[in-house]
Amino acid sequence: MSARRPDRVIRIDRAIDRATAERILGGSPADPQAAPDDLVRLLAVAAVAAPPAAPAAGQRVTAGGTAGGGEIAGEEAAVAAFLRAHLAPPARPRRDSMLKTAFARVLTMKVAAAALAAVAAGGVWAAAQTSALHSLIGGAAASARPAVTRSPAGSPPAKAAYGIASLAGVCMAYLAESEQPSVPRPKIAHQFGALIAAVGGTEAKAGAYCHGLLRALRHRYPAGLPSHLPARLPADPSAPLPTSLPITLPPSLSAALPTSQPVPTILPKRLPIPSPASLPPRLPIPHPEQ
Amino acid sequence: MSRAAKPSSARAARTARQRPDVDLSVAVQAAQAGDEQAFRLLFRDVQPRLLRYLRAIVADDAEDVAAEAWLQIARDMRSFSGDFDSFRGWAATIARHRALDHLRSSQRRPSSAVPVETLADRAAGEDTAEHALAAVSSDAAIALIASLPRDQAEAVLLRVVMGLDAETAGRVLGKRAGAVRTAAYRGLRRLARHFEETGASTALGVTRLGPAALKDMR
Repeated sequence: MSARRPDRVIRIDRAIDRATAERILGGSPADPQAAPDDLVRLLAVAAVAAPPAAPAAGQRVTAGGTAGGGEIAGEEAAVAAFLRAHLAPPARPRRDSMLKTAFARVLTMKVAAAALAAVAAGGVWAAAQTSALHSLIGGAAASARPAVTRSPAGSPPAKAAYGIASLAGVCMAYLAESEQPSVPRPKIAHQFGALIAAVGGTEAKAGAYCHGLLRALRHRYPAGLPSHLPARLPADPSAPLPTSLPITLPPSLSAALPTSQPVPTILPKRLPIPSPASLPPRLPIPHPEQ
Repeated sequence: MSRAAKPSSARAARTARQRPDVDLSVAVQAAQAGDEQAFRLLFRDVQPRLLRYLRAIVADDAEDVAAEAWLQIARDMRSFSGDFDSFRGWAATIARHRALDHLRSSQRRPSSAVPVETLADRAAGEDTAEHALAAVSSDAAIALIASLPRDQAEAVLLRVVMGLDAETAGRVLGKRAGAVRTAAYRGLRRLARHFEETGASTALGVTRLGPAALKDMR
């Protein structure tokens, strides 16, 4: 066998040209003088899968290692996808857009809450973010008009109950999740995207903001948050933000986010109470009777 | 009864084995109309090809990538138009996109050359049943082709395994047909040189496992 080898090798080297290559690539029988045997056989073996669908072959094992008997691996999953695609009524776009709308509503609520609380907390955190929050509020509120009702200024605040309490809740949830190493970062970035974006775009800023807000609240309400936090905030001349953003929650969302319901859990115990000196000089958190 | 209900798929099934390409074109049409059996016929023909082609791009992840590709094929089947030849090209395009996504997401480099000696050892060590040898040699053949530079490997496999002409393969790769021909030609020359250098009969066992030679194996 090996004695034959040199002859053939020499022929191979001479023989392969573009026309021959084109023929054997196209599966046509090539001139045996022109086509190197080894190459032709290699391509022939590569071209033919051990036929999985040949009924008479029984339990053959294919090149891919798939089971015989006609069916091959992955077939059921593909067929299921095929049937889904052909049975599904074309109603999906509408459902998607409804989902998106609902999500946009939640985001709007969160952004608005973040803005309100930024005004409320005042001081270093809010001051740095005012303009960013302002633009966020404008954009978000405009884009989700069906979900957000702008009441005329001075309307009764009974329903405009969205504010510090919910932001405190968001912040508590954020800190709880973000300080757990087991929670994947992308999940946090996704879940709290509105918060992170509102305070400057990084998790570090969100963490600092939330710690600051909770410290401030804790300082302002050392005995724990009152059962109802104010929803409307006093005019703050230092902040060019709308001082009241009366927001009516759509009924479907009233359960999803805290409003003026009694704040269930008070601030986490482990947060240190800051000394008054470390706090911003002015904390424009209003009194409830405001 | 069921044959009357699904005439096109019955016809496709009956004749698919005689003139595969022509009649799988019928199956393409039937599948587009929602015929499950026709879709299965297409899957059984195309999936083994896709798996072998994908090995040149994603190596051992070919099955996963092919599964993703089929989800998209199944979903977009209705929007496809063409015969079975273009269906294979379309499927290869989808599979290729999924494979490139896969590479990007896993930040992995494309599969590189498997040492041919390893394959030779494996092929030589398999001396069991005929079908096992066939499977191994087919694996080894694909692995050897996949060890070419990727553009050459893809060109060769799209032509030989997916059964595409140079024009269709060019559309899959986003290249001109001439560029595909050149890449495939270079790949073949490289393979020929490889055989020349290593001594073909020991390289893969491939030379002894052609369809005719196989019958004589024991």
